[in-house]
Amino acid sequence: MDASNENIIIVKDLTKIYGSEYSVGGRKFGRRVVGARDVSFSIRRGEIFGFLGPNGAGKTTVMRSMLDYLKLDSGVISIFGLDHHRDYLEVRRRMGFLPGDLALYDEYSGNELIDFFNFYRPVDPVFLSELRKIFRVDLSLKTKSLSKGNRQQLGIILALASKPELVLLDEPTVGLDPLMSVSLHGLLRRLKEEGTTIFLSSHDLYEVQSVCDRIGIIKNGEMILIEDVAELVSKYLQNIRVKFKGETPSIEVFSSITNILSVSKNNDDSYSFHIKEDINPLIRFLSTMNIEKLSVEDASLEEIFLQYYK
Amino acid sequence: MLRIYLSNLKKKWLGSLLGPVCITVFIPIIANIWPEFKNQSEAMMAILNNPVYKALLGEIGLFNIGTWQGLFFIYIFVWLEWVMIFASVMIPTGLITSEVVKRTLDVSLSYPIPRWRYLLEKFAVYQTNNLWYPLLIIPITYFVTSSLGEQMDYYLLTQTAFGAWLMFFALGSISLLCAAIFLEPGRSLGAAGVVIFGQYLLIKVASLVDSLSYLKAWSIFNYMKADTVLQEGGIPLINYLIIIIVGLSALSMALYIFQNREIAY
Repeated sequence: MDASNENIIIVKDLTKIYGSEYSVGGRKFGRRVVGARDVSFSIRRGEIFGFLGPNGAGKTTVMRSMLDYLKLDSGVISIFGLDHHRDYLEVRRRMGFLPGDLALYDEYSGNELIDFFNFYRPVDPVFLSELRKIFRVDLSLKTKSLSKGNRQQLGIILALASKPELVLLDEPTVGLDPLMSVSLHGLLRRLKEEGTTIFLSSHDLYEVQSVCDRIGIIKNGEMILIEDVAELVSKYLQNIRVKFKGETPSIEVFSSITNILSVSKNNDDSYSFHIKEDINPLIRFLSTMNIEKLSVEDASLEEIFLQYYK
Repeated sequence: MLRIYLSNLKKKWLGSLLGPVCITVFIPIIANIWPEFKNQSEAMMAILNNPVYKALLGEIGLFNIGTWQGLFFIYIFVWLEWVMIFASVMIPTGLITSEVVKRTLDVSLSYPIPRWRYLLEKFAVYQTNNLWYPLLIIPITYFVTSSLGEQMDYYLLTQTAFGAWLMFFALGSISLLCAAIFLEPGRSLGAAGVVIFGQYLLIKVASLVDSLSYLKAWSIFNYMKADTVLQEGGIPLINYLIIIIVGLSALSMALYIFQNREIAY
């Protein structure tokens, strides 16, 4: 099998329900909350997979399930072809993790933490010294005296220091300054080139668009979209701006055209169309009209994301 | 090997001295009052026959405080019992709950460390730190007793001090079990407090009310009391076994539950 097509993570029908409900004498007690329902996806070796969704959508549930912190109600998670629960030690030997709400032991310095965890997942000394150059956090200081951004940098160093085959990053750029975020993005792209698989959960759509190969969007615990980022951006949503020659048609004439999500009239009498997927019906319609200027732009991932969450 | 144990031991040894030092400080204080107290010991014995003191001190209150050894055992081991209850409720539950509150487990457990081993090594630090109690009490008692020119049965003292160390183990394991079940600090402390303080109350009530004396057997404190040691001239082997079995059972259950439960916040 081509190594690049090898699935490093396979999640199949993952369902996780929090809490329990029971009834006594016809009255219901307790509460069940869906953390994730029938979530399925797979991630190939050397791929950066972006995992999107607003707070409470189920991102953390999926990540914590992959780490075997949560018990699944149903479903299967396979990482490196191993069972995530039965073979959890082997999986963790080959995987780095940065939690979203990062907390480190206050009484330890960065160097002590690296040294402490080095015992369990040996660091790559060459790569570690490279990470020390990229992330300018003072590793001799105790973590309690570090700022949030510096602690985040230390968390990233800990997750990556062993140069693992798979990295799970939950909101990695939270607290980082823009320059450091750019450095991290560059590092992630380089790791991907070297074959590292990266699972990136983020709220930062710019970040996802700039580094991820594919994205998965989760809503109310259900995976509603898995798509290649470039394809999604180019085909899913496009913004078309048209300026007509002569008399500008009324907005109503466009109401019968399919795939138009919205249309608005601008100050210069031009029209802006938000088109979902196929732009041909609109182009065919416009071809019958007298056009002065027409421009087509891909929508940003943010616009696509918002469409899904409407 | 033992990386978590050694690292935590190094980081926490100073804080672990607080309880043992507090107890040990009492030894020279008692020694200081002993010469004057010796003359008033009969009056003190009469006071200790009061039911309220009997309830507080249990059978140890009936022991002969007319001797330096008797007074020493009453003061030190009654205080030690209270420190033991407080420490064994607070510290072992904190081994899990403080990590849950601070969310530090997220990072540590993402490394290839079995959860049971992570917890066991941390608990071993607590139990090692408790060695300060016998290691400080015995030599300081020796020096103080020598300076007073009094008698002390060091065989009994050693047995009682190490018996107390085993009690720290058994009670700590029960606390750890409560924390492994509940994870959350309020409920863990509540459960550990109810179980351990309940056991303590049980033996006090059973000592006070003759008709309830059969309840003593249900309290773990019954098997490692200073007065048992004094009266029987040592700790019976069966008592050691009971304490160790209770401790090991609770510890095994705690480790099993922590290994298999989900870490949900």
